[in-house]
Amino acid sequence: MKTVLLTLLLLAGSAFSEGDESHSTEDSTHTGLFELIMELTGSTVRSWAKPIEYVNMDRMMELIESGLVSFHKADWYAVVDDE
Amino acid sequence: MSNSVQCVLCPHLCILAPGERGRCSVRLNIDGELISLVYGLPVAVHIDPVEKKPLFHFMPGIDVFSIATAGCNLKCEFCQNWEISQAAPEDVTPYDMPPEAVVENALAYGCSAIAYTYTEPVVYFEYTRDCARLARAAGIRNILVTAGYINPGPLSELSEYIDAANVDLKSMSDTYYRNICGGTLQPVLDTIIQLKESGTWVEITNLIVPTLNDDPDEIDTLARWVLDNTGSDTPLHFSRFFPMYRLMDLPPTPLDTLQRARGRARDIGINYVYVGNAVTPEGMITKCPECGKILIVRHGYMITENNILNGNCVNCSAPIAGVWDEMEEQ
Repeated sequence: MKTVLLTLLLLAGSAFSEGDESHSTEDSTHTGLFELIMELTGSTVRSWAKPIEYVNMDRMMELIESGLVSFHKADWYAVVDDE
Repeated sequence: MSNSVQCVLCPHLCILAPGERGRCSVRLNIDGELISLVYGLPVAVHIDPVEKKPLFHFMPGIDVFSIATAGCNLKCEFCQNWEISQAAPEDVTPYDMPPEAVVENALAYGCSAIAYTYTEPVVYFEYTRDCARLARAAGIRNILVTAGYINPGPLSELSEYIDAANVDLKSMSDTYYRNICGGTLQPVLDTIIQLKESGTWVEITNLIVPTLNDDPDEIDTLARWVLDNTGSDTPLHFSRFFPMYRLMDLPPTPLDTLQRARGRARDIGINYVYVGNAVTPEGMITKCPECGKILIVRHGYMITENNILNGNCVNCSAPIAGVWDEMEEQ
């Protein structure tokens, strides 16, 4: 049931996100969407997956200056409101 | 606000504090903005025959401009491209190749299609989408070779530009996905169905790993799922495992296992079942499901016989599922 609801929610999200505009961030529709997603998915800890890790930002800045990584704005994310 | 972000590209739904990157290793939160670290920076660029993807029913014989960046959102212990898929972007030296250059190179080398492959195109979503959009405008087809671990919304956006896909259905066991691949099963099944419904030509690959997913009952379950959800004309490729990455202690898949899997899937009702990474009798041959005539014979990735004309069997005129137009123009 969770999966079905999540699928419907994300499909709904895609409907809001057509076109060339970024799919990210401040859109109030997304804020509500992600709150619902978090409620449905429950735990954010998935022990079977690769870990989330901090990066050395100084090193990252060196890499972008040397052209080895790009800082290209991504799509399909939202700012999380901790409160 | 904490400037944390949640990436909803894939079912991991990573929540990232500033300075953290996701499980894919290529999407980083910088001060509340999610950044792709690999846009325009492929680490693998090759020209392959389309049969290598594998796609056997999509424009056979064409050359495909094939690219990959670092990163993957799964961690399959048998990964054959683990040096780049499990690498962080800073671990592998990339080419500088923005989408315009990808399309220009594909045209320059006479490639009829671009494949987003080798690692996982889902994690370089924006690069894949932008390349595919330009390629479509230039008359080049787009091929997605993917594990299918993506959420429906992003997939909907991407599939608009994708002409064909090979989806790796690694198992019908959620436990296998969690323990061996670092993911879950259901999103992959959903992806296959969504791609099929979007009009994308879909073929499915299942890597058979000795002792882990070679149980005949599981093969049957997989073949029945393919039949029930995508139809009898969806090509199914059983691929041979070789010791790799973290599964060095297992032997290569016995040829008998692959042939039995092919036989079972055909008995269940899949019309086109192939064996890859191995030489087996009829494992690379396409036969007409109506009259049984041999239609396409492949040796390695070379096509040595072709008896499809205008998408039909030359013997009985039965329509053969697939996208054949390029072959017929030749």
